[in-house]
Amino acid sequence: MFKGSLPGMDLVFHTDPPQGSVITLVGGAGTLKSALAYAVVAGRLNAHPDERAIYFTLEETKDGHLANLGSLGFKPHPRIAILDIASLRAEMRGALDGGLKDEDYLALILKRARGEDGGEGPYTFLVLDSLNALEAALPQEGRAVRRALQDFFFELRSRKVTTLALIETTQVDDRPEYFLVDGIIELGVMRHNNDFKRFIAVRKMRACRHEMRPFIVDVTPGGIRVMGEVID
Amino acid sequence: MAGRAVKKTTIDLDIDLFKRLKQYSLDADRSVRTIVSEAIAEKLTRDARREGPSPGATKLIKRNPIADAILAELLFFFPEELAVRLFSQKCSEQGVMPEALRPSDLTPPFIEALRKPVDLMSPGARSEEFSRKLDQLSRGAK
Repeated sequence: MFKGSLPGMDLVFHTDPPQGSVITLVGGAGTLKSALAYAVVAGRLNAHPDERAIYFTLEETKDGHLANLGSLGFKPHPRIAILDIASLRAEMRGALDGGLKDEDYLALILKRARGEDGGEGPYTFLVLDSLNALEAALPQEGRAVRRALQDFFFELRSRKVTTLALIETTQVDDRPEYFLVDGIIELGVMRHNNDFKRFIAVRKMRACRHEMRPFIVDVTPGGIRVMGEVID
Repeated sequence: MAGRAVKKTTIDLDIDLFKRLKQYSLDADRSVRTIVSEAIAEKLTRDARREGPSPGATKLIKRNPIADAILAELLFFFPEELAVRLFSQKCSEQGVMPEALRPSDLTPPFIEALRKPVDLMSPGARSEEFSRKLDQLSRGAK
């Protein structure tokens, strides 16, 4: 899904991960996780008219997400359905005690990923923005959360839905979710020649040939571009 | 209650409770039947809020063809337990019981309230189709 998705992305990825891979995009605040995920998926769909994607916002509302993308020059893609779980939670909080319950989240996401309502079959790509918010919504803690996520990811893999799960953290080196996923992409900000630059680095990607070095990522009027590898 | 089907029932009440009920009925100038019906409806709604939908809630919805048709539509978008809870919530907000739903209860604001969560989960043409179907139900069409 990465190759050919954005200008310069082929410098990072020599082959694509298999369909059904679960990949985390990990980084601190302001490292372009949401925008990059959206841009990669949109770029992929532009080249594959038979595919479609579903994007779950759990922290931000759909309007907030679109405003954020709009500020970076993105337009809504007709084949990316943005599903606003943040607003659904608010909608259900009003009247019923408990509203959207903890156990609803995974079942709802899996149900919607099947794409049954329009008779078009399952979605090809799923973005989870963010995995932190999903974990916070689950009733379990620690190992139980990871077990629940393991089953959840297994289900998505078995349906061949390629998943991008966004994680906001400053502790990129070690996350408990890492052993559950097929790929880890780090997004970050680094000081570079008296300036700050955003970068992308693939930490792990099963069944895929890729570079390990960090590459500069830039937002231009034409969209997000991978500019070239970081040179010390 | 006009136009709704009713079922006659007999229940045994504690004599002191009955005396209080009778006095309340006189003070409020409302019939015992109205007060008891409202009290039962309130109790069922309150428990549903606290405990979420029970298998009984789904069964009650399925007994009413209008409610059953709406639930069937919601099941395209939501897992069953969530769909039942969401539907019960929206009915409660409109002051109607799902099992007693009539076409005339499906007012434009009620349809809009049901459409909103659907639109959050399936924006665009599919949620428009959902509200069209509810509009047809409100006019008595199958």
